[in-house]
Amino acid sequence: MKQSIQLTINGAVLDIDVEPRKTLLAVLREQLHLTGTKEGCSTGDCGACTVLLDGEPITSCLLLAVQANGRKITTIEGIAEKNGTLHPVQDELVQLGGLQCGFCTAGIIMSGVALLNRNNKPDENEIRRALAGNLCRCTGYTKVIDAMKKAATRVRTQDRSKKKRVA
Amino acid sequence: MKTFDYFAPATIKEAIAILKARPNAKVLAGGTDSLVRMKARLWTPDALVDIRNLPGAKELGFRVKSGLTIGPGVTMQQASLSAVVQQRFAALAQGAAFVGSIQIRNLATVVGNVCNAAPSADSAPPLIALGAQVHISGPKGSRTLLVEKFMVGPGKTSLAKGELVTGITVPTPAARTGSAYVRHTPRQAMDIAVVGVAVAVTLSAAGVCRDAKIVLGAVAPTPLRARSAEAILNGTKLTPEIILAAAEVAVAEARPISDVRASAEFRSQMVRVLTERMIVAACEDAKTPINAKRRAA
Repeated sequence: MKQSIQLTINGAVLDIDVEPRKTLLAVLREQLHLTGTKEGCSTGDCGACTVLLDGEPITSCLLLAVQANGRKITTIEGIAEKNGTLHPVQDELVQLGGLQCGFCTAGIIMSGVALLNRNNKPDENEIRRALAGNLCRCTGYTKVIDAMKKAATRVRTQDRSKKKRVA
Repeated sequence: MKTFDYFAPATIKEAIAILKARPNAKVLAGGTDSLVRMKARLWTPDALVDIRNLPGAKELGFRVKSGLTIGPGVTMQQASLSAVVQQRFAALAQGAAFVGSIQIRNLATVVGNVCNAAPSADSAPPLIALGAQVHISGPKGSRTLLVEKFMVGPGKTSLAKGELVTGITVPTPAARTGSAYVRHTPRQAMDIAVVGVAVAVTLSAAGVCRDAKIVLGAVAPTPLRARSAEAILNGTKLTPEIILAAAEVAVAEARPISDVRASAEFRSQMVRVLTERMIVAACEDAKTPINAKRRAA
């Protein structure tokens, strides 16, 4: 039997009916047609399905949609600005060639954005640890790490100017 | 996954009633082990009872008198980043930080890790070394049990039909107690322990070992207390010779098997190396005043 749940997805409040056995990933992709989030292994190993649950990265293949009832979810579709300007993590991955086939990229961006939200001055080890749950078979990771370092610098500058504006 | 009904009870009483009415129900915590098994059709419950909405489920509380209280919804990430866990229950913070990836640690729970009862569970040796207890509720009432006694075999606990774990408490360690956990894995993340070792030691003001606990993971059907090794440490000044002697006895107590991750011989060698290192690390932790301990990110 379907259950009624409320999810806030990328800022929009949605009341939907879901089957309890559907994962958040399945509901995002099949019911809400937010297909930017990918299904890789579906056992929590690869990180392709990473989304943010109340701001923290999780593998959406290992969470039932009913378990996310009442929570805020951010998917890859909610990362760029509304006018299409890419987030620094996205932009630097493009600029530095931190993606090839792109299947893991949405998940990497979600983990990367989550890291910079909590720590905008990560060292290389912290970047590698934050991305440890995201497997990439193409890039060899080096360019992903390079992109994250540059993105961190840009996010720091943005955060500083935001602070100034508030002051 | 096969179809099932989902319940998110708000009270323990309600949870027990559902488990009674639905004998094929499974209790759901973080889901990082359960959902994988359900997808593979290894488990086909007709109902899931989510315990993360129980009162206090997400609370990780500490009082000197009552110790550390871990609700059934407390995640590995919460446990690994908590200042009080890092300062007073270091081995547990370290064990929780080893699990999976950040994504997994944000879902997986400490209670679920113990109930899953894998011999390699990273939170189990630390909890056992620190004397943790599980709180169990069921149709016949409530009881508490040491984590050490709760895990009885690979994937097996002493939970009776209709019972569930409602939390874990870890007593406040005595003054000058330190603890440490490490595991060996070929990769640094997203891996399962080949060998894990947790040590907790309480030192006297003069530096004599008053109490030592050594717990080995992934070298027996359950996490294993190396009691003879502990006995070597008790009542002595922990010299490098004594520490090595204890580590060698721990090797004799381990009962490793050979499997895809490592041979029994390799595991035995790792028990010696890691036990030695963890005794030293636990002593360092014991000697460091709590307010001088740096928080690890």
